[in-house]
Amino acid sequence: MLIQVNDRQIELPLGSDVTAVFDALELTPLGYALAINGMVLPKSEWPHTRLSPGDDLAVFQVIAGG
Amino acid sequence: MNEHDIAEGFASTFAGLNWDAQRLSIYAKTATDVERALQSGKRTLEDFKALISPAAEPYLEQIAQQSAFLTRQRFGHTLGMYLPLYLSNLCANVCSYCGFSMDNRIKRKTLTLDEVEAECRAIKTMGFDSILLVTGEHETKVGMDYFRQVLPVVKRYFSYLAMEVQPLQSHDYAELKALGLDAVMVYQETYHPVTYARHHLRGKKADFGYRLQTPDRLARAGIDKIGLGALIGLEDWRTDSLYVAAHLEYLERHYWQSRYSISFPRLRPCAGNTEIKSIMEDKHLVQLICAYRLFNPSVELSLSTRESPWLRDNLLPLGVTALSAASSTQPGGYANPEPALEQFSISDERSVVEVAKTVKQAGFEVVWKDWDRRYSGV
Amino acid sequence: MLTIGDKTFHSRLFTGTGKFAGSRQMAAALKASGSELVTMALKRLELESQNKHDDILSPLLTARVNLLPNTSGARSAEEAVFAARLAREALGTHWLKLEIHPDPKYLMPDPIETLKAAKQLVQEGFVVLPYCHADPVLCKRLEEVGCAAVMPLGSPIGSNKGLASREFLQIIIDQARVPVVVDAGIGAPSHAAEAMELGADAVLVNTAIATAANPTAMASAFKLAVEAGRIAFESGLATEHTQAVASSPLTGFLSVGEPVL
Repeated sequence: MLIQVNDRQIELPLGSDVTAVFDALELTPLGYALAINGMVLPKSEWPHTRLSPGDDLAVFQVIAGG
Repeated sequence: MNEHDIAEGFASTFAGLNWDAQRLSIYAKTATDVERALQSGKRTLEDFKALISPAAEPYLEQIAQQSAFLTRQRFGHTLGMYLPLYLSNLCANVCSYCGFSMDNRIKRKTLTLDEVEAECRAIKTMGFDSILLVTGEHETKVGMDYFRQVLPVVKRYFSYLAMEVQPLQSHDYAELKALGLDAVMVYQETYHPVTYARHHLRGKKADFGYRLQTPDRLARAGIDKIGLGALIGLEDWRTDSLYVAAHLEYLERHYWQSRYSISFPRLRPCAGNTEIKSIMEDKHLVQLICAYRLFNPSVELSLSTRESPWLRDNLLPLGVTALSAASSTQPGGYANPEPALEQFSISDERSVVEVAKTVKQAGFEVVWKDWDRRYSGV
Repeated sequence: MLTIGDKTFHSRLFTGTGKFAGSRQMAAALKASGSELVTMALKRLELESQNKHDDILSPLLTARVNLLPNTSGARSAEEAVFAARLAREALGTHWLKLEIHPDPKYLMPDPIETLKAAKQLVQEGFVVLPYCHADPVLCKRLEEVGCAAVMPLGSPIGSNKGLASREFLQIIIDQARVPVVVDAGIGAPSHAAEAMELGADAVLVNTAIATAANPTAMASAFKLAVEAGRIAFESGLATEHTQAVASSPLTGFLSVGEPVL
């Protein structure tokens, strides 16, 4: 299935959970947060949340700032 | 939740203060401490202590100059006039220093609504627009039921309404506020609990803690102005005054939307029998008023007719912001005077016209009205 | 020792991680500053771009400093709340620097949106440190809704203009019942010392350190300045005093005494 993650579309097997996104992007969750269809998803929910085709994910990272 | 049991509020700060330590600290202040206090832009309680200490006496003129200047800066060349209206001298407390004490055999009177109106009409002709309703402390006969009836009557005649009655509960204050109550004076008399107990022998007033917590209840009820003070003479006046200043500081920090007023009544002879522990000379009263002003440029300082005309006239420029005139301390004293009902005999018996003239000659404008009942939401 | 919310700090200098040449320089300056609380931001990951943000998190975790993510970029309460929730997930902390500036030129904080967001975020369990203008009433309101501290600005972000809001900071410090952290506009160690002398509980400095020719040395300078200012404040600094305009003698009457009639 195709999932929108920020400015990229990625292909994931049906039934994938959110942690699969991070595996696909080769990122470790520390320092990242995620919103799915506009709602922030707690990290504790990531393994339990199955993605659906067309889901819109926004991944945020910690960067330098004042 | 029983309001009586609320441990928070000023009581917790009070518990952290030690009377003897504070007293020693005041008397230990040196000329250097006083000079530092005089130089400082923002004075602390330690500075206040220095200013009321014996070490500050040689600096009195300087302190007075600062006080006069700060008062002009904040308040301009104005002095507010208010009048006490005694509604009742009925009282359920026994207080050693008060003419209304329950164990004093005096004639008791509580004004009827008609008599209240008569007083209001008489007072109106004197020019006042700011009234202080005073009663003894009698929960049942002169309590909320009475106040509920009286306040609307008085508020029809006068813009600003203050009360000096028994401590009430928060919801009572909220209710009275809706009826037009603007200010409440509640003097702790003395902040020394043991001395307090010696002078307040029976009745609800014997409850030191409940009285102490009253300003907190007032502030939480949104009352516009809260009046503090100690009855000077019951205890070492310097230490009691330090507690007043600490109380003011606490309240200002926690209830930033309220206004505050301080009074400094010196014990006067009355029908009761009392010992004056610490005599406050006239120069000390000057020192105290100015010290309050230097400590807090925005607090109102209120002068009653307990003091002589000579002293009052000389105090006018020093830091005072409000004064009463031609007061009567007896219920019905304006329409139907009867000396037997008096709480204490006043010293300044001049008429309002005379006092107003003196105030004007001293370079001040008399302010009769600085409020509108619309601001009270009434 | 300074207590804010559930944490205590030895250092009253908080620092930002922005504008440094790289995370190595940032880490060195952080160490020199002695700061125990650092701010950082959040950004949408750019997967298609070649820009790789320096990993700032690892050095911060190594330094074992407390993390204070900010909501910069938010222009409304709604956006700030969203950013706050993301930050909490990204870093595992409830601490938050709430900053909402709809004005992209001067980055002035929006008081209305900030108060609204603060109220909600406090309810959601965040330890909220709101960045705001040096408005005494606003600071009391923020305190009332449960913010753990208030962070009034000294002057506009990045302007290095020092304490333009001095008079108002003084009122805020006088009235506050929560810690006051002067944030934004501190351009020199002397500004930081001045803020501490006024009685501020801490200062937050970013631009002045990050853009100095030698950020590490500048960080040390700020560390010393904050310490000096605080010691001065605690030692009873002589404060400025308005000279009274003398009038004719006011207490002479006491020696004359009451006339006997």
